[in-house]
Amino acid sequence: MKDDISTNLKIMGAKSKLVLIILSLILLILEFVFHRHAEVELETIVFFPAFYAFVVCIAIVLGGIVLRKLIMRKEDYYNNG
Amino acid sequence: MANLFTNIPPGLIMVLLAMPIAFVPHHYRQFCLLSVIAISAFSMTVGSGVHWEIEVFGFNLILNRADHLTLPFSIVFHIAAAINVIYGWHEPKSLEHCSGLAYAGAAIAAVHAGDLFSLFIWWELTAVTSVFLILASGSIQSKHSAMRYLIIQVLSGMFLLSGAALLFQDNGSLAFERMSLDSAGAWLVFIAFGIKAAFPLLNGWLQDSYPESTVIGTVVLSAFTTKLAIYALARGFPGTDILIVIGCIMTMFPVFFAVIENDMRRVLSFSLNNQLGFMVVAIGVGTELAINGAVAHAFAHIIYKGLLFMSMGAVLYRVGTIKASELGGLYKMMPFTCIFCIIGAMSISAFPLFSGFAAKSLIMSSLGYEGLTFAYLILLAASAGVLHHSGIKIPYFAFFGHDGRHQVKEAPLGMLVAMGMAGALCILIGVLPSLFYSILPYNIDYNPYDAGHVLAQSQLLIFSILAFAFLMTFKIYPPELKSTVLNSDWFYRRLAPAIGLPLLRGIMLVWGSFLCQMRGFINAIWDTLDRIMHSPLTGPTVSGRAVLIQAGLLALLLLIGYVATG
Repeated sequence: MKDDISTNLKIMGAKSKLVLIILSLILLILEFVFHRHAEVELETIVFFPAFYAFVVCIAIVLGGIVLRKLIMRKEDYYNNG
Repeated sequence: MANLFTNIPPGLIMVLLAMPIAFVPHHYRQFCLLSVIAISAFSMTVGSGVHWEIEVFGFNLILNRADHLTLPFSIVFHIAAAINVIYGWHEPKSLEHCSGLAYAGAAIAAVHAGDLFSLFIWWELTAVTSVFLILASGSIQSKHSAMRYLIIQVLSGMFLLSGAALLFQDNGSLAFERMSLDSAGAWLVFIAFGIKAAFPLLNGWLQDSYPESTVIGTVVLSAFTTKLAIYALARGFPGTDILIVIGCIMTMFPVFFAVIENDMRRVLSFSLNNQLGFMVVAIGVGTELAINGAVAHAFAHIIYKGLLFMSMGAVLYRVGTIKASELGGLYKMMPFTCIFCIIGAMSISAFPLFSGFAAKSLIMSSLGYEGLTFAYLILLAASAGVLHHSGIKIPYFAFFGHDGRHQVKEAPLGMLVAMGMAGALCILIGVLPSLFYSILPYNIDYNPYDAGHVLAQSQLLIFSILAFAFLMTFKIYPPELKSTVLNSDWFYRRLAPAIGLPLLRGIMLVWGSFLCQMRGFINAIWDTLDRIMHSPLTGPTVSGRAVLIQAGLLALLLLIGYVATG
């Protein structure tokens, strides 16, 4: 049962990644099929939301890693002292 | 009779009946709670206008004002209160249910307060009633957290009261209407709202206390206090430019914290803070579209954030922990909770056909229409961040990720029904936005579902998920670690005592030595006097200090007598 869960999770992970990549490609292609909505000038750049989201998410996580060094303490930080 | 129910502010009856309902046996009590909420909701049917106004000591207090801005908040507060009752059906103890009812009632009544003094009363009552939800946890940490929460909330009320007093002095009116930040009074009121709305650096109480509450308590807390503050800002400070800056910081600042936080309910508290940022920016923009966006977002947010907290509450209830590092693989054991959590996650991430999309689109468009490109880009980045920490992190680490090796049952029926209702609302709002928009303050003609808009949003979301998958695959994503992430509450939990205690000790030391010196000085005077009394240069000896004091007083009286008679 427990090993089942681990195996299933791995299979699901692999399948999800495949679906994700296919979906991403479809969304990029759709950009050339019809006009994509843009609220501001910058957004009219081709693939802007896709590119921006990808870069921002990586930046947030990298920022988080740096932040972790600065403000992460032991679990009982406030309880001991 | 009809007037009795319709003229009293919605929520008041919930506050009044919360205490007696505690004595009703468990299951009947839940029905009573729902009935009281329904009766309270009936008061909303009276329509717009001032329905109850009284004069106290010459002050005009408006206890029930209903208009286009109060209605959506009142509706969603009632919905949240009812869903919370169903969510907590399994809990036989009355403390959380009754304080939750009074708390929701106070928040609803606050929304209907037409003057700053009535608002203050309800404002404080939300603090006093909700603190029991944190105390109900029963641990030492929750007790300390509850006290910090209460102090901060009451402090917010004090700011509100002082602001109201100064505004009354300036304008001769207590009416709660639009204000501008050109007087000390308005600033004090603004800070009061800012504390409850968890502005940057004033936000520590939120992430400190919400996760310390009980399974039910956190869900209840997530709905009211902060959204009451959003209502108050929308009423008092629409179009205040500084709110755009504050809101932008609010949307980005907590995202980083949420990424590295291990406690899932604390992650949700950071994400709650980030969502408030969207609303604050929209209020700062202040156009009709933006205010509609802020209100719509508050409405949708209460439901989907409640749903996320409910799902994590169910996990905590069954597994006994809510640390991401100890969870994982629960999708098979808690399939319905997992599905509801994903619905909440898709709503907060603003996937098309879910409530967040219908609400957030209004805010984003309002920024675009006003040409606020920088704020727009910040909020776009924050949207990607929300997806990252709430949309993916919450369901992924709880239900998927790795096998946490837990053997648990699905959540209790009441929890599932409540989550089902919230999930259905998330989808209903997303699928039928026009119905949703019809209850917003202003009539607008807006359709979020044009193909180009859906494509832009889908690209944003799918590529955010792709980035997450990329980071996980290459093991760059920081692993979940047992830890405490410092937040702005550190300033008063660590820094202030670290500086304040030595400072206080120093002051006490100086004061102590001053008293000691004084005592020595006084003793020296007495010693000198004693010597004079016992061996005077001339005349009789004085037998004691009391006699000397009496003689001194007599001499003083004589002197006054001489002076008075000239």
